[in-house]
Amino acid sequence: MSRSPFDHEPAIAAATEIPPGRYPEFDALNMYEAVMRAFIGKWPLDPSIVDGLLAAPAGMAVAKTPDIFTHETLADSLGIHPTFSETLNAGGATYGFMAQRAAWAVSNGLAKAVLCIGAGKFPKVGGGGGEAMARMVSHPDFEFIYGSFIPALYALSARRHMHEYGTTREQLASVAVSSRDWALLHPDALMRSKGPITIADVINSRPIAEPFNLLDCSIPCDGGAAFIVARGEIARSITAQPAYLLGAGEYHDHGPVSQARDFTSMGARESARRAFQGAGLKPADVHVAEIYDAFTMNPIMFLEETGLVPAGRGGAFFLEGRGAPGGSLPVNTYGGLLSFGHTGDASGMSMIIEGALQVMGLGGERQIADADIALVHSYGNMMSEHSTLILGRKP
Amino acid sequence: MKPKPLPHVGPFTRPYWDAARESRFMLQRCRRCRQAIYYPRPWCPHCWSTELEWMPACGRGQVITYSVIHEPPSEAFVSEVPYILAVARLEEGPQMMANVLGIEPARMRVGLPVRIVFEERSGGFRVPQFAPAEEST
Ligand SMILES: [Zn+2]
Repeated sequence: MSRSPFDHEPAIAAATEIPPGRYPEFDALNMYEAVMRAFIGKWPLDPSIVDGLLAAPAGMAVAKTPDIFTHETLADSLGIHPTFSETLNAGGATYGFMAQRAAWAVSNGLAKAVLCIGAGKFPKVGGGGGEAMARMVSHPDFEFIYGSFIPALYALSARRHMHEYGTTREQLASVAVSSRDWALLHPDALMRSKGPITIADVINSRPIAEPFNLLDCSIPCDGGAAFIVARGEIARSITAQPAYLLGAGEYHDHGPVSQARDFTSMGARESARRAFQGAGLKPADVHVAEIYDAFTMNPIMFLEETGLVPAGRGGAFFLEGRGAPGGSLPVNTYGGLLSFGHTGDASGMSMIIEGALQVMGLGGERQIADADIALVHSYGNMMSEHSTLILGRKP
Repeated sequence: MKPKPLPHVGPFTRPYWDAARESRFMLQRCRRCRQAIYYPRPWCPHCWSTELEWMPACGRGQVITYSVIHEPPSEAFVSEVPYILAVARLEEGPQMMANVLGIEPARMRVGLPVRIVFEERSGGFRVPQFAPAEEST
C-alpha cells in the first residue's frame, strides 16, 4: 500500500480547464478571470475555506511586463485573505510545483485549501513570437546567436535518442497519432474536429527541424486552468472522489540545453524517483500517465525516465499503440499539448487537470476504467526543471 | 535583410569575444581544479573557485547531437535554411552549441569531428562556429 509523505491527506478537490483556443479580446488578466469564472461556476466553493493562493506571472509569454503580483491581484479580486500565497514561475513545471508546494502547505498546517491557477497565451509563432520564445529559453550569448529555435532545441534530444537507442522516425510520429486518437474523445480538444491522423500524415507534413515535421509539434493556443489542493476532509466535502497527492518529486538539472549532461535523460529520472519513493509506489502501480509533450519526443523520453517503460523502449511502446485508447498504459488521455492544445505559459496545467479528472472519475468519454493511480510529469524551460506528481483514489 | 544576432559583451565574457575578433578560440580554465569551462563565467562550476585563467583551446570537438533546421526562427536566418544547429563536446571537456558550416545536411552525423572556424558578423564581431574537421577542402 502507498504511504503518503504528507499529513492531512492533501488532495485535488476541484479541477477545471477552460477550452483551449484563441481569446483575442482577453488580455493576460482577463484570461485569469475567464479561468476563475469557469472554476467557481463549476464547483460548490465557499470562499471562506480558501486560505492559500498560488498564481503564475500573468502575461509571461506575451506581455512586455508580466504581472509578478498576480497572486495579490487575484486575492483582492476574489475577496480572500490567504495565509499562504505567492506568484511563482518555473515555466511548464510551474503548476506541478504549485501542487507540490500546496500539498506541503496543507501538510504543515500553513493552509487548509490552496487555490492554484494559471492562464496563458501562446504567442503567434510567425511575426516575432517564435523568436521571442527562442530567446527566452536559450542562452542569449552562447545559443541564441546560432539561430536556436525551440523545435530544434528539442530535436537535439530526439536525434540523440535515435542514435543511442535506434528510435525511428515512425516511432516519433506514432506519438502524435496516439495523442490525436485521445483528442477525438475530448469535447474541448482543438484537433478533435480535424479527425484522426496517420504516421504518414506526420512524416509528410512540413519539415520544421529534423527529425520533426509540423505534426510533431504541439498546437499553439490560449487557455488556462485552476485546481484546489485541500485537506482530505475539505476535499471530500467538495467532491465524492478527490485525487489524493500521494507523492511529488522536484529536480533541477541543466540551464541552457547545450549544457545538458545527457540528451536522453534530462532530469525526470530524479524527480520521478523522489515522487515514487514518497508515495511508497513503483512504476508498475501506475494506471495512467499524463506527460508534458511539447514535441513527440517528450513522452518517449519521459516514460523511460520515470521508469514506466524501459530505457530505449518508449518508441516501440507508442508504435505498438500501448499508450493509445485501449492500450496497456494510457498516455495523455486528453490529447496532450500535441492535439488538445498548448496554452503557452499555462500549458503545464493541462496534464495535471487531466490526471486529476481521471482519478476523480470525471474523464467522460475518455475515462480510464481503473485510474486508481496517475502519474503526472511536467517540466520547465528546455527540459531543465522537473515535477513528477503521483495522484491516487485512496489517501 | 536583418543581421544575425550579436552577443552582449560583458565584463566576464569580454576576453572571449575580444579573442574571437582575432580568430582565436579561448576557454577558461580553473586554477584550482584545472577543469576547462564553457560558457564563460566568473567562477568554476566544479569547485566554485573564482581563480580562473584564459587559455588557447585546441578548437577540436565531436558532435554529440544536431538538428537540420528548415523553418527559420527569424528573418535573420531566412537565407540560411536549411542550416545545422549542433552541440559538440570540445576536446578540453565542455559542451558547446554552434552551427556546423560547410557540410551537406545529408552528411551530418552524431560523432562527426569538428573544428572551430569563425563567422563574421556585423560590427567586427567574429562568432566561433563548427566546420567538419576531416575535410581538407
Ligand atoms: Zn575548479
